[in-house]
Amino acid sequence: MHIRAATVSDAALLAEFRCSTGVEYEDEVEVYLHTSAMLDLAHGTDVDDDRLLLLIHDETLVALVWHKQGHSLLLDGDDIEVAHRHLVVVAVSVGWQGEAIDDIRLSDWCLDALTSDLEERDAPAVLTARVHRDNQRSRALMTRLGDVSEHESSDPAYLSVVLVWR
Amino acid sequence: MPVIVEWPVVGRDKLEQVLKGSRGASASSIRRLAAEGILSPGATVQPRAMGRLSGRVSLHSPLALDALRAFLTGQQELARSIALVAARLEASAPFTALVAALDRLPREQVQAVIDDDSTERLRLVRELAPLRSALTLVAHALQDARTTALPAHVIHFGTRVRGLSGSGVFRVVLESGDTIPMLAATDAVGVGQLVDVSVMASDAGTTLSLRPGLEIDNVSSDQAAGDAERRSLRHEPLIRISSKQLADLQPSGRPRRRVPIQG
Repeated sequence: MHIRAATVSDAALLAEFRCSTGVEYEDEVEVYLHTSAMLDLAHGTDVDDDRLLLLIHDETLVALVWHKQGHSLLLDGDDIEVAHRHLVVVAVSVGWQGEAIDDIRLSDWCLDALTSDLEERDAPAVLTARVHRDNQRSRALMTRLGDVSEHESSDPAYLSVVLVWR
Repeated sequence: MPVIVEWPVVGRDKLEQVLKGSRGASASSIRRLAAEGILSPGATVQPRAMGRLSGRVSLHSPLALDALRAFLTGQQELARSIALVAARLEASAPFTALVAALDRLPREQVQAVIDDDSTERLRLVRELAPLRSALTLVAHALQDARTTALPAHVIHFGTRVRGLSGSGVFRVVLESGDTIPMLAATDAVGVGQLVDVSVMASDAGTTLSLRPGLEIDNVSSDQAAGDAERRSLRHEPLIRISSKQLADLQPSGRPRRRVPIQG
């Protein structure tokens, strides 16, 4: 497995990535990766230290993990911003969902890529994410990192989650 | 409410065309002008032809055209000022994203976006969301650059072509009823087409130019970027958490395997 940070020249690679099994919230992720993602990455890399990690096996993009500097977490009462990173997307290619490489599950590869990159960057221990409330797979993935605090968001279909990864 | 603005990208061959149209200029002048800081560096796209990579295509911000026209009307310092702003715009994130959207497209589609095939260009903008997003953001950045960073020596306004008239010397009839010579057009012009008219005044006279137009929402580039952000997966809803809730959170204890990451 080869893991590297994406650049805007990976637009074609991203355009061919399929991660949706037909569920609406998975479609949303796939459409985003095919359309606005590269534009956002170009902007976000300068502004929010966006990191889109590509997991490549035998020249095929099998999974990706995208995290960035977070701006959304406040301590209640004081409105003090808590330093944190925000997990934008974790996605595994449809052909590789449930599979393993070198006896390691793709989901574990994703989590290890995420924590390795966070450690390398000496990132804050707090991580946030926005997860569709029906996306049990993603909600379970978050709990593999740490205790999860779930919060209602402005979009009732989605939950905001807070966890501590180290 | 939508406004019509200048098409936010121009091919290098259009710059050469403008140079060749002026007295005493030659193709090699492009390199000389770049060396003298009158032409911005631009960006290059690597299109595909028949499934393989083909020769690179150079493209610029339309500010490079303004710089060139300022130079050709004897306004060297103005030309350099505009070229500096053009260079900043061409190095910006929106322009980089536009290059990424064009990169590795078939060559004929890249040429349509920067060339005079308005029908194909508009079809591509309708069908390719990354291209549409990138063009819109570059168009907003271009408008901002014109209003904030450049002296008001060039006036631009967007409109629609109502008709064509004349014989011998053709004229373009704009929606307002005003007409301008067809010679001012850098690209082919058709009835109903969106166009941007620019007027540059100098001691040498007034220079008119007619370029393809693009319709965008009449918002600032910051607001356009903000609207795009809210539709983006990067959008983060606000979370308020108590100190106790935060303090009670613990990592899972899952063994963390360190993996090498390139870049």
